[in-house]
Amino acid sequence: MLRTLMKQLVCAAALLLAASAFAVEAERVDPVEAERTVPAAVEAEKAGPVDVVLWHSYTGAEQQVFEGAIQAFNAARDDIEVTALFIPYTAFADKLTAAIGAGKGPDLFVFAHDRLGDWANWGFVEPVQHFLSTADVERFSQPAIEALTVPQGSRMLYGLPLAMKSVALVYDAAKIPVPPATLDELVTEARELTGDGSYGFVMDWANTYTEAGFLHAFGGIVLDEKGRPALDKRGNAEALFWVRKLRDEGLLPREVTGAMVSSLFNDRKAAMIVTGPWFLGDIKGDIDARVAPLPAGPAGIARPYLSVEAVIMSSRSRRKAEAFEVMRYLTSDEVAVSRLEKAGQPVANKQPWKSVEDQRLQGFRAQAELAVPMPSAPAMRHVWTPMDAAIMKAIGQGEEAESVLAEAQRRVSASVQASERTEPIEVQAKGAEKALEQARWQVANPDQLITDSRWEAMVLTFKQGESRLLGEWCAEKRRGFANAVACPVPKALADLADLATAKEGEPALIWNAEKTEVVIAARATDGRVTMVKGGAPVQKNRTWQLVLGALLALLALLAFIYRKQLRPHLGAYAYVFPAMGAVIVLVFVPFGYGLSLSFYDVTPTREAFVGLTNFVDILLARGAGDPHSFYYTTVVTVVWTAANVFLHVAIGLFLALILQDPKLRFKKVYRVLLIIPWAIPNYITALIWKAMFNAEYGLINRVFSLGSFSWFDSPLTAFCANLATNVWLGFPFMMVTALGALQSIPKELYEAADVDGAGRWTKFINVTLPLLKPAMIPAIILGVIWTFNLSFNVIYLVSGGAPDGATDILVTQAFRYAFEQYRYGYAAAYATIIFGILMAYTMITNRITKATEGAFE
Amino acid sequence: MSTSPELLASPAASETPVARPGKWKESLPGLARHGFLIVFTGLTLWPVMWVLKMAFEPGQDFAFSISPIPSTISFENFARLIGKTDNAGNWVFARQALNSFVIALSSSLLGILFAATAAYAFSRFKFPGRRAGLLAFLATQMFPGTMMMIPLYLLLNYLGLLDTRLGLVLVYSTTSVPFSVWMLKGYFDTIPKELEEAALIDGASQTRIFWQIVLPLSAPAIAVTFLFSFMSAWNEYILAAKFMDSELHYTLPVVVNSAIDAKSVRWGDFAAGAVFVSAPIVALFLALQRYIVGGLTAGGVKG
Repeated sequence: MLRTLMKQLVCAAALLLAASAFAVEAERVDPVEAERTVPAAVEAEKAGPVDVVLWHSYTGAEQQVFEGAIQAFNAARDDIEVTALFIPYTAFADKLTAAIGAGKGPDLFVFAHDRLGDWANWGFVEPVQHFLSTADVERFSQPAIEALTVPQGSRMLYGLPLAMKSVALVYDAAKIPVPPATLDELVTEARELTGDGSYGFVMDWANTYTEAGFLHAFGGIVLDEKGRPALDKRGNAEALFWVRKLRDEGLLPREVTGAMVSSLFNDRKAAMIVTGPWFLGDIKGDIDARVAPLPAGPAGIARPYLSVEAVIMSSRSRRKAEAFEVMRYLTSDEVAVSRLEKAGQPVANKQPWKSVEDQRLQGFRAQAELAVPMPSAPAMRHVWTPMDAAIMKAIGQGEEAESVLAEAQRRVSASVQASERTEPIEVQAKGAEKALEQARWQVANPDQLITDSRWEAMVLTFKQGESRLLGEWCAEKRRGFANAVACPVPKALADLADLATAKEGEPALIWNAEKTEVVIAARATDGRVTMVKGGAPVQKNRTWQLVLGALLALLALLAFIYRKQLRPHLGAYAYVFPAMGAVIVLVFVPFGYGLSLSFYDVTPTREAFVGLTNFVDILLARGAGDPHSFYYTTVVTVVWTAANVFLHVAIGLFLALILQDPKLRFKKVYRVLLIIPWAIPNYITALIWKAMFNAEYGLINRVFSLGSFSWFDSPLTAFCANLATNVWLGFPFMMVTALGALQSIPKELYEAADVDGAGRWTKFINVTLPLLKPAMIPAIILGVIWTFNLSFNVIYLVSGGAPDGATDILVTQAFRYAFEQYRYGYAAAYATIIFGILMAYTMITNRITKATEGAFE
Repeated sequence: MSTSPELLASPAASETPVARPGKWKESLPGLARHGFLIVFTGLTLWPVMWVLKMAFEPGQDFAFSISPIPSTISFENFARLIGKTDNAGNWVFARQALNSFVIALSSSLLGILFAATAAYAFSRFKFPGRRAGLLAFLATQMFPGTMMMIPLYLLLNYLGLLDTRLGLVLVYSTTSVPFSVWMLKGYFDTIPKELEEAALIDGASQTRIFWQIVLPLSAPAIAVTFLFSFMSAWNEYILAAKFMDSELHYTLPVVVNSAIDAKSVRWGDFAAGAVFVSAPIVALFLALQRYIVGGLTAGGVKG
């Protein structure tokens, strides 16, 4: 029996995997092969206007002005047609990463600069400085340009700035005639104005972004100049201690959110707040709000983080010269004026500001000029969560700031280290060979340029021994070359110098630091040098497909051997095939691929085989008590699942018992109304519930007079908030299930029990429960799987894992690793473990309850 | 990937007897029961009332009062949502609503077609791989959906189905198939085989039996399966936002989620959109509710 089951399982697995091998093998076409086109093809395309696709997530007035400018551009130009696409902010970054990773996506996109570090390292974005002159650059505020360089402060410029935003001090001039210049003055003012539910000064203190200016004012810093975390720097602790004193004194609300800060100000309950230009449109008309830079602290001025919105060019664009024209137009002074005047956008251009008299806009601009570009170094994405947690602990829970920050520093460093674990990849001989071949072709055909998204080339006159070659290369801006090489490959200069002495006609390979791009340089006999830039031979795993192929062969073999036994069942297979086939291709293949990643170290540009390292890391990474360890999260997940399913069943059954009474009036009405939570999408209701648990304004605290109780400060209450939401979402299903099951219990059994003189309770225990069991147990088993696996939205949207990941469950944790830290391999290993746990659970419960066993008969 | 957690359903049993008319007097425990039910239902609906309140009140703020009754009624939020046009003058909302409807409807119909045939085979035939096939369908419920996004993107890209309705329809229908198979198989198991045997003797083909006897008899189960497939396709937004590359191709949930910004939620837009997305589902629930309640999961109970 067991053996046949095993055999069947193997067969099924083989079938699935085999199909996936086919589908995915083809999907991983060699990029070098696929992208290789000859110039003729490119020329042929250039008949009508060149289409430039731009993605943005502007809404409201900003969207109108922005798209209006694009329309004007399209009307004026008949050679370029810009197509703008709005993408919701929540989906933007993931969509962009997926699209560019697959070689698709827009030519240009508008986004904040904070992910540029990663994107540049992956070769997703195109440096543009070689399109620009110094005068071009000087049109913009210097910090805005600096923010767009990677590494920050270098000459590598990725994109042109549209707007620059930083927080500043917004104050109510009716209460504060002169804004405080120092933090001490600020505290004095705050003391005077706080009381009766009003505050002198409010800021969203639980947030690294808003806190940054204050950290800097005390001499603190988040990343050092080399992009490494420096959370344990002394000034950081001092800044947190300063905020904590304000909160302990009652000068700051106990819990705050950005929305609350704004409403307090609009209700005239806050005289000074820390907020950004996005608040300008929401200020109530009759408030005399003004904007000033943040007050200075003991270590100097408070320089908040500058976030720069920029037009960025995708490295996959096939229309780089045209895309750049669009980029330059959208960031031109002329368009900037209308963006500033009509949409109130704090533009990064200098010129339009000369005519602006609005104190508020100028206030924000003055602050932005003093701000520090938010680091875009990859280490930064490891900082946010631990730093927010440290701030919460040091301020919200009064723990000692220095030890909390030291712990955060350890966490961030470990996390940065883990994500950089993989050694540089070996140059793949095959890919390099293709690149060389490409270079030889280019050398042989110096007048035909390969202009393609991955393969770009240019021919230069190369002067022997010229060390300024790179500079000249960049200065080359003739149209034919504008589409060409993104010149600054960091290592290139030195290598090019070597090339001067290299043999004529022999190509040399030059890799960029991340080995995502390769430059082939070859010196032709006439003294000209040919440069070819190409995407690196992208390292993607293939081994799993071999495994699948082998399984497929095995399956085919089995089918052949047993063909006689299988023939009578062809009819049955025909019935099953459409469903099975579709599920295999669209569910099992992607999932098989996802699971296979758990043996790899994965970034969007490479997959390096690491064996079981991800699993070992997950299982051994941290002590069991650490809220970020796998074991802690597993316990939370199990408790979460058990509590939810228990409450779903208990409440559902209780309601069903009440509602099943045939004599009850209006039961249909009750039933309909009680089903409603189930019918509304849970991402909608989860957000509503989160707002209901808000400490200051949430309904829950106000109805139960809990003051400003902070639900998300402690793991237990945050867990309860999640639980309340999910129970609310889930009980209707169990209620309906139980109602159905109750209806199927024959009345005669109760009548028989009545004859025996059984009481209500006895009847419930001896008749109802045993007869409910067969219907409820499968529902409970599925309920467990679903809660374990699919209550993602609730955790993610309600508590967001707060405090500090303590209420995360395994699926939300896996999501964080995948999409917040870009550690896909690690996240895939999490997913594999989740799958394993649920499989084991199903097998065990099946054995004990025989619940779904009947279904197999 | 939302095969929503609550998707287990039930072939409908016959409707329970309705309260006898003309008997208005309730006993005291009866009144207590009503009291409890009214309070409980009220609490349950409170968050929903808030969505309505924010949808009908002008402005984008989160409503800070305890009462869930709108202080003013305005259709401003709805007007903004419905009246939206793009630069080319297309009526965006109508297209998006139509997309949502077409995609949800086709994926649920396609999903049911796949599921019903497979479920019939699992219920009626014995064949090698049957058990493994059922297990494989069950196993899909254990896949963490978040890990599917990137592989699915690559797959649809390979198939050339990005930014097409067909792509979304295929993805939605296949995600709902496994659950539907289990549910329908459970219901088919409860249909007496004698009917089919009689038909066979009369010379009906297997196909004809399936279409003309089994399917009509399973109408309640099919209705419920349809409801759940429709609901999960209609509500989904993560994949829709990722796969669609033009505003005219978006579905309504994508539009609802556009109200969530980096820094804030535009509650008015969000709530108005939420009402639009939820209303058809609630209506469908009401229309199909007599099927929803019934003998549950024959799949587990078996007869």
